[in-house]
Amino acid sequence: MKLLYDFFDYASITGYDENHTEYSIRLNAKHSIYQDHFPGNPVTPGVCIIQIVKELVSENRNRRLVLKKIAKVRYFKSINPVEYPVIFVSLTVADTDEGDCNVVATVFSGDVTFTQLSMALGRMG
Amino acid sequence: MNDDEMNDINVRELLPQQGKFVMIDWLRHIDETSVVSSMTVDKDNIFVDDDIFSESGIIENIAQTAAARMGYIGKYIDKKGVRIGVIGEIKNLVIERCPHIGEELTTSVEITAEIFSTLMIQAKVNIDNELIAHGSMKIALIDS
Repeated sequence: MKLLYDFFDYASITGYDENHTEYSIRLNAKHSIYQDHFPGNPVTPGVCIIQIVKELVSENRNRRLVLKKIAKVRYFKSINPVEYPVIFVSLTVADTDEGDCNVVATVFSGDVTFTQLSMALGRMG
Repeated sequence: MNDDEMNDINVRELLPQQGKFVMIDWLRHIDETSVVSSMTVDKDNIFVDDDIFSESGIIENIAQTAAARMGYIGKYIDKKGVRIGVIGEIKNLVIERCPHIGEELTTSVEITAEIFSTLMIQAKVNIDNELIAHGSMKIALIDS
């Protein structure tokens, strides 16, 4: 599954330093996923938020990464793509000596925090 | 209902997710504290990329296994409609490897606590005897 340029797209990228980047992304409310999740009630699937963060880190580090471990992901509020067509992802990435990336991310819009993620991504295979 | 009779259940009637977002094929077992589902990875599955079923697909499979149990209780025991369940929290979830097309996932979910509309679960995903993912999750039922 690849969601970038299909389910979501970049609106802007702000790099604070090598390890801290803030993205604003635009959700595609017309995507077929929203017709099935759920019929008549579009909600961004929690797993797609994890996937979006994985793809943003992969782009950020310019290599394909896989999810190895979730320390914790907390969903505070669901994201309706019509109500929130543009959302923000604040990303902090720490590279380990083994070539993994430890990622802390917050998905938000203004004062509203949707999701907080803390997870480890690693190389493919 | 015994395990053989579970083969007659259409999981789509137990889940609010529809169409291509249904991420389990069958229920294999349900009891007071657990539920087991199975799913074979199809090449047309929306979570498949380069013949590999993604980590997010595995997590969705776990969540829907728990949701199907809620749907089963809603339909057959409480005789009410299917409510929408969303993931509230994921904790200490490890992905050992991602499945390939054609492999069958057997997902076992233990209910560790059920508080009002929130379910705490512990999940194991196996391919044959190989444990490919495990972790815990909190699922919340919401009124749509």
